[in-house]
Parts: sequence; structure tokens; C-alpha cells
Amino acid sequence: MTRYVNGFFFTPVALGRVAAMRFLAGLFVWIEWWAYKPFIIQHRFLPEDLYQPLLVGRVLPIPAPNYWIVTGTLVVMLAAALPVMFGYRPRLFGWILFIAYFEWMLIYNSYGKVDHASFGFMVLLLVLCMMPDQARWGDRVHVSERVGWGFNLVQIAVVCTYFLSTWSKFRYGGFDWANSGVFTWAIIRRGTVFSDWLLDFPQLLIAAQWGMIAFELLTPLVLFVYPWKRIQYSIIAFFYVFHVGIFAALTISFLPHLFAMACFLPLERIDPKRFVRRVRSGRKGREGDPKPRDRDEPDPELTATG
Amino acid sequence: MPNVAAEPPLTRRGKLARIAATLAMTLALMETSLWGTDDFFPFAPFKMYSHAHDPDGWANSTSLILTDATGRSFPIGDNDTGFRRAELEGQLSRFREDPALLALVAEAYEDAHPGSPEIVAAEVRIVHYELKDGERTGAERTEIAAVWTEGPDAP
Repeated sequence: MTRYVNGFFFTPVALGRVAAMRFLAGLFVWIEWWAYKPFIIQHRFLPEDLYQPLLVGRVLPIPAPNYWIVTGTLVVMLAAALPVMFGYRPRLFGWILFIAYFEWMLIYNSYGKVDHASFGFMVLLLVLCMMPDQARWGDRVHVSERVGWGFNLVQIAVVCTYFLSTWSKFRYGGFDWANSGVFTWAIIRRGTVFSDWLLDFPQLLIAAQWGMIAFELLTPLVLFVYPWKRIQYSIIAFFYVFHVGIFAALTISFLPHLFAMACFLPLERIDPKRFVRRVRSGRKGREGDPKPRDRDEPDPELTATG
Repeated sequence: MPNVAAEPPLTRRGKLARIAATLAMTLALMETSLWGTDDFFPFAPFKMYSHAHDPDGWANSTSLILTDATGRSFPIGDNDTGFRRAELEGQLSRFREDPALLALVAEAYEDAHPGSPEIVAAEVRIVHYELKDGERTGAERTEIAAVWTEGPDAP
């Protein structure tokens, strides 16, 4: 039992995963502002009267966003993300990134609507600041209990995003949420060609609502099966498929959540340098070969799952 | 055999402190899910799509429509001003009470589109669709929740 609890929180994780997650975190920051949430930068045009500061914004001396605060936050955030991505003093720049991203989230959420997909990602940025500077891609040799704990914290945050959203459904929607017309309402508002036809089958939508509740209540299992990595990775794969489905139906993607969730996966197996070396040597070895092998053949290290 | 990174093993105290931090985060999230509000961001309740919608009621869709000096009326999207539909809905009671606030959105639109004609009017339009057993009956009703027109004394 003690061993199981100890392993739950402190199973050592290889430093290669830290390097990979730093890259993904910075990559997401670079993608989000122009491709995923372009309205955040547009908040620079909004007059102060529409700003509705959140509790943190009122307690801390954070000024109301204006043109230059929004633009400046973006510049600092993007600039700090680059060294984090490529492992140059990633702790120092990680803190700058975390603070700038937090301010960016306040700019995002302080105009009358709070979104809920970023919690896990913010936890990820925070724990990455505390992980070793010398993390390198593909490092499966050096492992750390501290890193294991940090990623476990992110994983718990990710699972809470599912599990506790059921609590919210019961709280705001009542226990009858699953029998209500919520999916119909969602599809009317944001439906796509993949989901509009469902409006003709309300019973199916009710069934899907029950399925959603069951799915979300079961998500904590993914944490508790940690000793069985294959099962854990399969569940995570299922989560990603679930999000593909939601995206097809409603164009809602929870992208930051999906990036944070990647820390469940054994990303330390990815080593871009070795991959490049292998492609290069493969190319040399093929000279004179009349029928070259497909160069895009996936690296087994990249596709291995367990 | 994997090497432990150049760091001393975690002490018992270090472990307990970390477990306490994990539990604190989890409990804060749980508490806020039950009693908190969005105001506690980042510890806001995860309430995406948590409101139940009566299968025999009305579903609505809100839009913000601007009219420019050439007389053209058009709905604006989330990226036109940065003021999203959800934010408009979040602050809808303010707009109902004081439709003049729409002037601020018009101003934001003009700032974001310096080359476009001036905005002279704005309205919040809500289309309500009737549902029966979760299906649209085809009946709908349009509500104008707030209207603003640029005053005649404006330049």
C-alpha cells in the first residue's frame, strides 16, 4: 500500500520528457495567440469599461488591459517561450513565461466569460519552471522523482478538469442534466456537418449525455492504473479520440488541455537528433540502391506505445 | 539501470510537503467546484456546458449586429473586436440596462478596422428557437435586447 502511494506520487520520470514537454508548452503558446484564441490579442481594442476584473485582478495590483499592456504581454510571453522550447536556461525563462502567460489568461478571461480548459496547462508551465535545467531530448537514462511528482500534479489537474466538471453539471444543471436538451442547445449554437443531423435524434443525444457523465466520472482511473503503462496509454489515447469527436461535432478543442495531457505519454522516447542522424545515415546507405525505402517511414521510437 | 539525475533523493519531509501540495490543489479545485465561482480563476469551477437545457423550452443564439455609415448591417464575429459572443452574453444584463455601452463595442470595432466606414448603430439580437422533446419545432422568435444609435450631435 505504502509502495503504491509512493509510486502514485513519485514514480521517477526520465528527463527527456521534461525537454519534450518544454518544447510542446512553448509551441502551444506560439500557436494559441494567432491560430487558436486570436480574440485575446483583439482585447487590446476594448475600452476599460468592458473590463470585469477577476478576484486575482482585484487583489493584486494588476492594471486594466489596454493596447500596450496586451501587446507587451504577448511580446514577453512569445519571447520567453523560445528559450524554454529549446532548453536555454529553461527555468529562468520558464518563470517569465509562467508569469506572462498568467497575465495573458487574465486578459483572456476578464471580460464577462471565463473559460476552463487552461488549468492543466497553467500547472504544466508552473511545474516546468521547477524541473532541472539540464533536461535533454531523448534522455531516458537520468530519471527524477521530483519530475515524476511534477508531472503527476499536471495529470491530476487534467483529470480534475473532467471529473470535477461532472460536479459542476450536477451543481448548475441539477442531477437531471443528462436528461436535458444541453447537447441540442450546443449543436444549435455550434453544430457542424458532422453533428447537425443529430438534432433529428434527440434520444441519441440524451444517451450521449449519459455517456459523457459516465466517462467523466471514470476518468480518475487513468491515474490509479499507473503501474500498468499500456492500459494508461490506451486510456489517454481514448481521451484524445474523445476530443477529436467533440471537435468534429462542436469545433471545441480544449487545446491547452490536450497539450498538458501529453505528459502522460513516454515522450522521452523521442529523440529528434537521433532521428535526423538515422535519416541521414539511411540516405547515405541507400546510394545506388535502385528502389529506396520510403523515407517517411515512421521511426519505431516515435510510434512505440508501451 | 537508469541513473537518478544529479539530485539527492527526496527526504521524507520533501515527500510529505509535495503530497500536501498536491492535495491542496485537488481540494481547492473540489471546493471551488462545489461552492466557488468563476471569479476565483484559475480555481474556477469547470462548468463548460454544465447548465441543463429544457428539452421543451427555448434555445437561443445571440449576435451583435453593427450598422455602418453606408447603411450596411452585419453581424460581427469573436475576432472582429475581441469582444466575444460569450462575453456579450456574460455582460448582457449590463447592456440591457444601459444600451449606450454598445458605443464602446462600436468604438472597439472602429479601432480594430481603421479603414472601414464609421459605425453608426449597433444592436444585440437574440434568436430563440423552440424545442420540443429536444427537437427544433421550427418556431422561432427574435428579440432585440439592446439598441444603440449614434446620437445626432456626434461628429
